[in-house]
Amino acid sequence: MNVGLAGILGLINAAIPNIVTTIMMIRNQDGTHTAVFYLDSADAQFAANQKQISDWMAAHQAAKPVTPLTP
Amino acid sequence: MNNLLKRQSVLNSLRLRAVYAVAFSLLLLASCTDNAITQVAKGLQDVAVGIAAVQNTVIAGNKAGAISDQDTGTILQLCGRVNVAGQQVSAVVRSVNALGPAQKVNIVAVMQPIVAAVQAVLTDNTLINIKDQTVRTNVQLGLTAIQTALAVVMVATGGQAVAVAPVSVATPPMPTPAKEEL
Repeated sequence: MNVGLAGILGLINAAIPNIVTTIMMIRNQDGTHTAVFYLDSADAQFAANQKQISDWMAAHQAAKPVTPLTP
Repeated sequence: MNNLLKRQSVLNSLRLRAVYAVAFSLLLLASCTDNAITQVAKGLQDVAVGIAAVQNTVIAGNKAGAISDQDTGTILQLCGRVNVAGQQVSAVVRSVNALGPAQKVNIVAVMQPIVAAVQAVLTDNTLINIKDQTVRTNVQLGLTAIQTALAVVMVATGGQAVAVAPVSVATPPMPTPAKEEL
């Protein structure tokens, strides 16, 4: 995609917000998915992964015995 | 009068057709996304799925007592770094219609330390501490798959991929029996 086309797409996106994103979500004719489909899928998975890590960290921090302060 | 109306109607119809033609052409052009973007996006999806598999394996291994809390924490921290880097790269890719030199440099800068960190865990002593052989192999294979997906992203952005050779995890040394005194 050249700069001219990117400029045109930018103008369209400015006129109708998210229209280019919507267009990019359409499946390719050969049945493969477009970039936005993969990115959406990856972002959802990354977020789920992060939640799993924070849950594990929180559970294991809570389980750790609190060292009593020495007098 | 009738002719005027007819002419007006034909003109309107032609204008409408022209608008449709332009809009359709733009839609066709817009759907032709940059190939590198698709490769990076697909690579990121593979990384995300791979990290999920490693996290599940490690947490299940920790529950079963095969991996210590410390080693689980180390591997999960690495996974966390990969997740954050993946989200950063995704944000960069979403903001453009084609990957320019600036975006490529940005993506490589985010990915390079992550590739090195995954490689380090594959080669340092973290995996050796996993007692269960099956869990250790699964974590190793999961991290190797992530290395491959990261390499795809790096290559698509012009970065140098780390050679993803099968990493052999050394088994803990067997204790040598004490020599019997004669």
